[in-house]
Amino acid sequence: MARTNRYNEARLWTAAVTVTLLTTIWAGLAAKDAFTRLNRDDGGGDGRQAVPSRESAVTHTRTRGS
Amino acid sequence: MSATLAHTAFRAMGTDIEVIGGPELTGEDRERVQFWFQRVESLLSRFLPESELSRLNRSAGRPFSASALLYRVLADALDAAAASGGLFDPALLNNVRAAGYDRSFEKFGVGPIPASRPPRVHHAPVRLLPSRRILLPIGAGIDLGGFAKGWAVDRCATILSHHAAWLVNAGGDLLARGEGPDGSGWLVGVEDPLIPGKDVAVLRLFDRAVATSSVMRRRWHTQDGRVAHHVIDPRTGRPSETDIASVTVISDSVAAAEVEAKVLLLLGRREAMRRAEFTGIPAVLVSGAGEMSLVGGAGAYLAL
Repeated sequence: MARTNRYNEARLWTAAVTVTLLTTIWAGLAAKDAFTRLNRDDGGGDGRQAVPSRESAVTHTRTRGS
Repeated sequence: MSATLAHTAFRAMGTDIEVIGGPELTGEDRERVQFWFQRVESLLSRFLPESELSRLNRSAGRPFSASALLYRVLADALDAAAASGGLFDPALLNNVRAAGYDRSFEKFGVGPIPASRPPRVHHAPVRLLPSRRILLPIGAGIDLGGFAKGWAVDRCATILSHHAAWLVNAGGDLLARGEGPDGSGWLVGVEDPLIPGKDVAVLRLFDRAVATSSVMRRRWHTQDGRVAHHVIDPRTGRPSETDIASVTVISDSVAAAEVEAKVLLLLGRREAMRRAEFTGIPAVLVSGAGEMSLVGGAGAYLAL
C-alpha cells in the first residue's frame, strides 16, 4: 500500500514538473516572438516604421486613392 | 488661429470634396469652392456627353476650339506627361473604356463588366495649336480624371488666397495651406489601401499638397474573369499589374503629386523606391502585401 502511494506521488510530481517546464518554455517563446515583432515594426531595416494610427492621433482629414 | 474648425463637404467630380478652415472661412468662400468644382466637372467630365471634354473626344481628327480652362488643363497635363517619360498619359481614354470603365463608377452594377481588347497606345501626339485649338489624333481620347481633380484643388489657392489656413480635400487629393488650425500643422491620415477606415500613417503638413493613387479602389470584375481597375499602364494599354497597392506623394502642387503618385505606382515597388530616393520627392508606398515604406524623406512628415 505504502509502495503504491509512493508510486502515485512520484507520478504526480513528474506531471507537475512536466507542466511547469512546458509552461516556462511556452512563455519564453511567446515573449521572444513579441520582442521580435515589436522590433520589426519599430523602424526595422525593411522600411516599415511604427507610426501612430488614426485612433492614436486626431486627424483633420485623410488621403486615399480614388 | 482658433482651433475651432468649419467643415463643409459636397460631392463633385465623382468624389467627396471637403473644405476645412477656421471660423473666418465664410459660407460664401465655401460656396465659391463648390461652384468652382462644379464648373470644372461640367467642362472636363468624360461621363457627361455634353461636357467640353466629351465634345473634344468626338472631334478627333479635326481642330477643336477650346475654352481657356480646357486648353490650360490639357497643356499642363501634356507637359506633365512629357516630364514623366510617358508613364503618365492623359490620352488613354479608349484603353480605360476597353477595360470596362465606360460609365461613372457610381453606375457600376454588382455583376461582371464587359471588357474588350485594349487599343494600341502608340498613337500620334495630341497637338495644341494657336488660338486655343486642339488637334486630337484619330484613335485617341482624353481622360483628365485625377489630374483635373488635382489641378482644380491647386486653383483653390486663388479662391481662398485671403485666408491663412485652410484645407481642400478632393477624394484624397488635397492642399493644406498655412500652419493648420492651431499652428501645429494639418494632420492628415494616409488610409491603409487594404483595410479601409484604418490609417497606415499620419502626416503633419505645413503648406503642402498630397495626392494618393491606388489600384484598390475603382476595381471591378470583367466578364472574362479578370479583376480590372482604373490605373492603365501606358506600356501595355491594360490595367497595371503593379505590386504596389497605393502611393501617397507629398509635393508643392496637387497635380504634380497626382502625376508622381501614378508614375511610382506603375513602376512597381522596387523601381518606385529607387526613383523616390533619387528625386527626393517624399512618398508613402504600401505594397500589395500591406508593407509600408517611407521614401524620399517622407519620414520627416510623420506626426509622431
